[in-house]
Amino acid sequence: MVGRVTTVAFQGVEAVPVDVQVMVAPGKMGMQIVGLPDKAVAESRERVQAALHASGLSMPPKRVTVNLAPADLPKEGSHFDLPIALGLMAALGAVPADALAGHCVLGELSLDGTIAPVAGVLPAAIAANAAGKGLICPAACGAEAAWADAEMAVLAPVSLIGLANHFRGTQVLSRPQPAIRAPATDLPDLADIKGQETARRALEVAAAGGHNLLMVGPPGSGKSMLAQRLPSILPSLAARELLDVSMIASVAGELAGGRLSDRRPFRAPHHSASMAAMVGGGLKARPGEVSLAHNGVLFLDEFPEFSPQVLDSLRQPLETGECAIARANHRVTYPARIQLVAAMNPCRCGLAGTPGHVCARGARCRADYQARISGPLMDRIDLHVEVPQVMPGDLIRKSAGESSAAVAERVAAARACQTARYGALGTGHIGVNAQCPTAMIEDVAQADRGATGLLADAADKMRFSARGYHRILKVARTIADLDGAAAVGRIHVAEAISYRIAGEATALAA
Amino acid sequence: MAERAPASRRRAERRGRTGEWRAAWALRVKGYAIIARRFKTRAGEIDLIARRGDLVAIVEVKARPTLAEAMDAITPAAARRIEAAADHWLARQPDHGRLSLRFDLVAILPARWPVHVPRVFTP
Repeated sequence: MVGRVTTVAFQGVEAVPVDVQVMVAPGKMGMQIVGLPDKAVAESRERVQAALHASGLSMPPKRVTVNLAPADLPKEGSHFDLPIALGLMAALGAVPADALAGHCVLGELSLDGTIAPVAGVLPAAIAANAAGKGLICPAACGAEAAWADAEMAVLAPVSLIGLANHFRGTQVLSRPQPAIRAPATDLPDLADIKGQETARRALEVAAAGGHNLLMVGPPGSGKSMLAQRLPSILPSLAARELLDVSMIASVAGELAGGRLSDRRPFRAPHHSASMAAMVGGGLKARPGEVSLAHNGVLFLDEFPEFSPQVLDSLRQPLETGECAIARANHRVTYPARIQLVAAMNPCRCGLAGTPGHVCARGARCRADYQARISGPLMDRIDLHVEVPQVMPGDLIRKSAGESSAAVAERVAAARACQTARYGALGTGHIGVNAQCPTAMIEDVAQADRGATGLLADAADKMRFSARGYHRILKVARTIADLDGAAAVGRIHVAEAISYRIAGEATALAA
Repeated sequence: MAERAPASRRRAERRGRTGEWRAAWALRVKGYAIIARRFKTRAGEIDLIARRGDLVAIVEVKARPTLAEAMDAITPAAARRIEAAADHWLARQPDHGRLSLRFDLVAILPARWPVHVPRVFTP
């Protein structure tokens, strides 16, 4: 009398198959769970017994032993309730064991026998599909699971009784439909911003090429407003990216109602964020903000107020596009291909560089404040832009700025251009210029003679780092794409250099 | 005082025996066979051992004014004693491999049919 059910345990976004074996044998009546369960799994004993009772099944007057194999893999989370209950029902003959054989099962049980939603259904569904199995998951997560494959069998019962009835054939469950969250229509619009033409242009370039952007300006100049409008000009996620983003959101338990969204993630953590919150970690090596912002935007407002360790922990993910979290019990790699957008004041009082302002602390004020951001991190930011205070004239003027829709159109055209280019080169996941490998950028840029001359001169005089040199080329490529130009010209390189040296200038002033 | 104590002990003893007798009949009516009464070991004592098929009920009998008081009367320490005694009993059974044990309570309430509470505690 052994019931066997397949479920999964999560290691990062990977779903590792776990075999739940339930044995009903003579002995002292009771239930034991073995196989390194954590507290949430061990407590499932009480939930399973209550749910079976509520479903009209009583516990057998025998000893029930549950083994979660492989026994040396720590099991955590509440999604083991349903597989344990089904394994027990199969061992008792309440459901046919062969019906369960072709399914991977996960779900949490309530005391009344209903099945509560759990995190990680999408990765589990994809793993089950790869293993050629169907999936049984909570009703609230059905829409999420249905995304894995159109052909795959997905059962999303509301309760244990509903599932038993399905297997008995009295009330057959239908396959849930993949759901997508309605596109957000209430995103803030760029038209709200008056003036700031330079910053708007930099934002457009950043959006078009996926480049990192730093905005420096006094308080109230509109840096945060600009950043919040970035999602409205970014193109929606492609199918492959959508799944990647949703897998991480699913593991983090952030998919509301099992609906996937094709909007790019926009994460804006507060500057008190810890390193584990930023890059991932904690007891279960959960994804951090960089991973949750995968294929989207990580916006860090009040950039220097973040702790220096936290900021420097971003250096590796920014370069490699993934974070490898190593702990004693976990070695997990989460994808983290992000676009970093940061905003900061030029100094502590916030007004350095404003005409007519004299700081009581002198130049030190500015130098100390900007020194909080390390050089290597600054080097990874392609676009530096000063956001000056808005002139009263601009505020009074009636005419609204260009709307997000118009900018989004240009950005989409530039992105289409890049997708076609990298698609033709067959570079896999690369979709934007910012992710172009260094070895390839020289070929891709196709800089004409004027452009190379200017870049060589500037690199010589300004002493750009090797990374800086290549990053200028990438930005220039994006600007040319926005222009619709096949080759990078002198004017494109000039603009790219101006974004770079805005940063060098702040660094020099410091 | 010294003369009254044995009298009250005797009365309690008699009340206990009557309760166990009533509990045994209540279980027989439910289809159980009573296979041992007042089973004594070094570890503790079991009031009744009842069997139906391969299921063995280790029964504690409690006479109390209400059901709640009867259930409360089985303290964790008492539960441990009963469990240890059950292990002793089980070890002496030739067919122990096929037996399943359950720990029950029969509450003897005033002017009522004995109340059988299966699985009053789990090991």
